[in-house]
Amino acid sequence: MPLDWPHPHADASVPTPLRMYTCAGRWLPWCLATALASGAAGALLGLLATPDALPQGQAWRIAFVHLPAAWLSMLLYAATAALALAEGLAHPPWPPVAAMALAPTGALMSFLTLWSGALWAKPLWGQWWLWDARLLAEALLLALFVAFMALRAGLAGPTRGARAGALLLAVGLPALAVLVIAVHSWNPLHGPVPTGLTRLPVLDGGLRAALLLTGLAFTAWCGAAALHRLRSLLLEQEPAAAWPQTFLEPR
Amino acid sequence: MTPDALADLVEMDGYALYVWGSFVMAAAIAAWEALMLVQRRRRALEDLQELRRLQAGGAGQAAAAEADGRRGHAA
Repeated sequence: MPLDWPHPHADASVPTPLRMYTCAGRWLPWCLATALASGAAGALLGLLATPDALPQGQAWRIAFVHLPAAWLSMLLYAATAALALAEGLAHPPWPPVAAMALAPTGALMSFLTLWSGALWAKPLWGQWWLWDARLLAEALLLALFVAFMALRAGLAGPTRGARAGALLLAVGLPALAVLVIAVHSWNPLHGPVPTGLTRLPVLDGGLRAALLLTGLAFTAWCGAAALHRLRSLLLEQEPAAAWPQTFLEPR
Repeated sequence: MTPDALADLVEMDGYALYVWGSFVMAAAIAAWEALMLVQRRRRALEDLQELRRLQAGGAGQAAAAEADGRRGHAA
């Protein structure tokens, strides 16, 4: 089915598939390099921090995985929902692939949040799982990410899938709000753990730096993954167009 | 790092399963996602190559049919 996306030679401000493809390709190596460098530095700093400096002993090192994953799962859900709503309801001048580029990475971050959270809770508080607002909201975000991907993969045609997927993610926005509020309120499972940037100063300087570096690493990695996936999605969406041919090897 | 310090780092005061379980899962997710991304791009490019081959083949057949038609008229 031919798609009437803007002509490659349209106004320079219009994000055509070719422009999105090349722009993503320019940012991709920088995101990847940032992820690897900050990840290595953060891991080194985090693993070398002495147990005395850790708020809850060695188990607190899980924070270097759990906190960035949690933050990113929320950020990626908000971004995916916003893009899905824009693509599904507002019909922007690009193929409806941006939300699909983010969704798998967001789902993986949600899963990692729940996994690392359970591994953190068990040794310190004796429970793998607790039926509280924060955990339930995070699990709901994961379920909605997976449902969105299944819906978009199953429905024929990009337009119908975009609209239905947008409405599905919109359903989860109240859960995201609950999660954000629950992060800053007292939670029976979590102890006095700095869960927001405003609480970071209570940590030792080295730990604070390690946490910020791993947070940057996770963010840059998710950005690189989304950009790479976006490029593949654009190639898949435009098989009949002329611009993808320029990126194929010569015959 | 001394061998004792390395052993302490691995053991994590008895929290090894939980701490390394989190780190290993994060690394596994990153590796798996990278593999999936590379495979997806390779598949997209292969599909485009195949489409180009089919289009070239179709164009060749159309040109051959037109040439046959001209020969038919000339004969």
